[in-house]
Amino acid sequence: VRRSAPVALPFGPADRRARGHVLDEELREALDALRDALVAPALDVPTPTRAADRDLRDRLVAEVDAHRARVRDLDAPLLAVFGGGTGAGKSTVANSLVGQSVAATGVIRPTTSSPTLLLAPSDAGWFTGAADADGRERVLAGYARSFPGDGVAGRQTGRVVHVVDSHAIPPGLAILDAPDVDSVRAENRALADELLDAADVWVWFVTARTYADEEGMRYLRRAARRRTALAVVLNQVHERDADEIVADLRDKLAAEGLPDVAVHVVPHTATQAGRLPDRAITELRRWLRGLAEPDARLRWRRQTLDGALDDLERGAAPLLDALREEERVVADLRAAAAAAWDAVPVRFDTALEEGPPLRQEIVARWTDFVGTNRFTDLVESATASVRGWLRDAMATRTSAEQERIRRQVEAEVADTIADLAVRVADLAAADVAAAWSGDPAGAVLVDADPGLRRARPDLGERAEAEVLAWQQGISELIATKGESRKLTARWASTAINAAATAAILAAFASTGGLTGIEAGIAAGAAGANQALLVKLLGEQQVAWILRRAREDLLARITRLSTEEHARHRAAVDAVAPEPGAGDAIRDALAAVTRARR
Amino acid sequence: VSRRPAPLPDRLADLDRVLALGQDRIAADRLAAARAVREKADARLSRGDALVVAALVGGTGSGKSSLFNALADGDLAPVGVRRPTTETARAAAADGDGPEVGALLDWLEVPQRHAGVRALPESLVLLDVPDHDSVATAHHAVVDRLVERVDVLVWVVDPIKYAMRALHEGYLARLAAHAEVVVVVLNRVDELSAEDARACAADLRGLLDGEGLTAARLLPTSVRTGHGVPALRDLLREEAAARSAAARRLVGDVRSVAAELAPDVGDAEAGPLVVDDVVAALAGAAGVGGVAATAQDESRAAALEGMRPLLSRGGLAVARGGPELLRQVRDLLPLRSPGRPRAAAHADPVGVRHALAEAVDRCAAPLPPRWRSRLDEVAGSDAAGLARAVAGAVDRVPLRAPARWWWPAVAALLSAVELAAAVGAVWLLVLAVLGWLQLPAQEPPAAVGAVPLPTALLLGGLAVRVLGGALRRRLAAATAARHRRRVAADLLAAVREVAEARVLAPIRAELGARDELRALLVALRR
Repeated sequence: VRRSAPVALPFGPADRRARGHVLDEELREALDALRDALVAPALDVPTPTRAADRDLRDRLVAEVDAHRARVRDLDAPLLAVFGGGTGAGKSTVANSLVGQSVAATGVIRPTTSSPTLLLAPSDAGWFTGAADADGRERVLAGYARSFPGDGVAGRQTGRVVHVVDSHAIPPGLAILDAPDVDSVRAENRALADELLDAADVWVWFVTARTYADEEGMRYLRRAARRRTALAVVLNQVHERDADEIVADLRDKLAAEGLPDVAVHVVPHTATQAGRLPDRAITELRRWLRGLAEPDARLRWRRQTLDGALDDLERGAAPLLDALREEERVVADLRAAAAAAWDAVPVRFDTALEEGPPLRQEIVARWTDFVGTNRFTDLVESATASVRGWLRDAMATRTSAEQERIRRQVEAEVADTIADLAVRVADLAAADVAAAWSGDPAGAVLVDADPGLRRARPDLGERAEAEVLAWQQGISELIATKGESRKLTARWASTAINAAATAAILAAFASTGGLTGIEAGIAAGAAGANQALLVKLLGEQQVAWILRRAREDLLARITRLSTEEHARHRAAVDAVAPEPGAGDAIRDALAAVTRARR
Repeated sequence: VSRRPAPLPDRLADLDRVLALGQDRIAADRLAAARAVREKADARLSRGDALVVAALVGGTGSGKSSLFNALADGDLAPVGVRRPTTETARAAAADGDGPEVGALLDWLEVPQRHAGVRALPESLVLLDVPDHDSVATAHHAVVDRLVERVDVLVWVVDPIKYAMRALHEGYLARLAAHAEVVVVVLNRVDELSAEDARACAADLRGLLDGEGLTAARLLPTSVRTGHGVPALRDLLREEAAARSAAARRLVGDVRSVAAELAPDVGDAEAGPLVVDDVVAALAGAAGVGGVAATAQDESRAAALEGMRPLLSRGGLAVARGGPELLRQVRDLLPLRSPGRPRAAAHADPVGVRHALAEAVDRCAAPLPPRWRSRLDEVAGSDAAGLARAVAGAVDRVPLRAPARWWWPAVAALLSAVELAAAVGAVWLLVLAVLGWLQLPAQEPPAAVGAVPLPTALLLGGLAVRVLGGALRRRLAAATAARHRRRVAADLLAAVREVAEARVLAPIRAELGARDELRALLVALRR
């Protein structure tokens, strides 16, 4: 066997083109585009079917690869795959064809776990080496190769093709002994499926005992649907039962839409060294030889290719469904997250209206302070002209105390609002987690990052910073608005600070919250605060400032909520499919259909 | 210590309990499967539980019917080369005319029955079943029904088809819990050399062990040579004599369905339910700290009032009844006057919901996801209602400090001191007026040491009054602080009561139900 040594190809590329065997350039490009479109989606959404969907996609890609190779080299040797259930005698017949034990046989099921490729020595160049002289990939490009000379190390299992050349195989035909399709070994089934997809002709093996098995018949049904070139080998039949069984088998094949399939009977005979006597396979050998004729070869290949291409859309439909499902799941997860986070500002606002649990003694102290005539006097002194040293002295003392209480109140408000923001965000995150847990893919995402069940740990700090900035903003706003009130320089800052604190407290209960709270501390606070503000700034200004304060606070909370939402968005985005992946596949399929017209 | 598996009746009773507890706690489809097992057990046990039904099941062409005929020692079932051969299930029994056998076969829906098959042991009913793997898919339903219902499963395989996926993934892999009543027969060993037959049997044994069927018996047989058929007959005779196959099969059903239910219940301990955290969070949402602080303020004011001496009281009375200006001043201090109306308590619903979410989260973290929503449901479906209940409980806690017996005593003492000082002052005033009028003093007033008595009364009284005033404030503050602690404790107790009734008890009940389910399922799987 030559490895990647140059070989004499039956026809050079120029000859092939001259003979008109090169299919339309357009179809080739369409298949290339289809492959790219199939490879593109990552299928990362952890749906329960993700593994199956990825397998399906890989299989479609392998199938399209096989079609590409076929379209490119219509003259390549015909690939006949021996398929069927475990114990059907595929490897025994393969060994018998070449007259030597090249494929494993035995009583342990399943026997064959990696395929053996039988070919004429002159055809070796089509199948060995990474690429041919023109740099094109070989048939069965996804498989490693091993050769009889490799010894034990070369006899790997799995995605390795054992390549055996023999003069018993006619040039123009390659026979692939595939693993079984029905044993407990899932990897065998996957391998067999892929090889059958790549085949030009199926040689399907059944035995007298297994010909009615549903598992095998499913494959024959598929072959019927795809018009795959097919022959059935009925193996291990005792001469006396042959007629009855063949008739029954033909009935069953006809029932599955395969009325004209060639059935080759290989009689039950004792094997010698794992091989059948030559007379048992004479007829089969003659039929296989017929396949290798150039005209027959082209006919069989075109039949299988046409059928397979006709069936592509049907084969890709589950993948398109899976992509649609991915998009649906992702849209649902996004919608659930958006619903929870969009509700945060509203919830926060409602909680403010209902009155957050401010530590009332601090507010009460402030209210006492604002409510006393001492403070009113102070304000008077700030708004009127100087009133003499006595009042000044009193005001100085008052102002120090006011400053202390004011700081307490602002710290308390900052704490409370930040706490409230964290709680509302925590609950929103919990809502998202609950909604996501209802979906299998969402549950995987939540389990992968349990932190998604709660707001980010640093939200408290960020919320507090936002609230402090908000308070700062109110002070500045009031300073700007207060300027026009001609406050005397000496008391301006005191009065403005006091007004700011009053506005901060008023933001809790000024927009209707009063109705929900009965007469008492809060109402007193609101009343006193309002009175103070009105005295300082005038009624219109106060209403405007309070509205602004409230809006600013909500805007900040909305921003925090958006930042938190981003985490859930990122979790979905990390797995979300590229938009339009399904459309790209649909377009590529349509292009393939157009190219074949 | 070898723990004997519980007998069937105990297991069925446990399963009943699981079915009752599992309602809404275990996925409905899995619970339905468990209920089906329970119903099947009743159905089977009511139809001759001393009878043993053994079925020959397997793929087409493995030789079930030939084996059936060999065991029954007669050509009861047709055999042939056309696949599939057997169309309907067929029964044979040594007696079999009895109503028990009839009822049993009716339940099994076996149409073809052969009575008086002497070759079979007493109380055995042998079934020949259609294949499970041919293109005749109608047969598969028959197989599935019988595999569910018979007592002993004799899987008949042959050297070609023993590793078929349809057999292993479709049936054997799901029968691990039933290994005791599973017999696998490797038929047609005559087609292999002795050595190959051994290799083949060893490979099959390996497959079975890998599927958890270590306890399943494996017999090589050949109907053509008769190899292994007597051994199979002996095995069936033993099963028939033991008469326990029906119960053992049902035990297997219960174990396997318990294993299916187990993931819904989970193995892990639930997370801790920290009562103090829940109560503290709810109390925080209701602003209990502020309420207690208010109570402290009011208590302090009440104590000061209660200990106010006579003269100060008079002064206040004057102020109260005094001029308009003073009334206005008083009006500016509305919030601190004792006895001002108490604001209705209010619990923040967001805080309440958050408290519940935290509690549920900690409990449910190690549990399967279903339990999180379940606990959410029992604990927190009505956060607004809980918030109202917490606020109501806070409202019912009395905040007013009771008057202390010693307040009047202190007030009286201070009044006496004030009085003494006043007497001293008046006395001195009288002396001064007498002196100014140059009237002769009657006699010098009595003296306390070197200080004359009126002076001592005035100065001493004033000094004691100042000290007493400080003491009065100190006492009032201490009383108020103690009152605050008591009120805070009362408030927490009130919140705890609500939390206990509306949150903690339901969560505990739910976790208790889960613990019971978990223990039951562990016992049932054993």
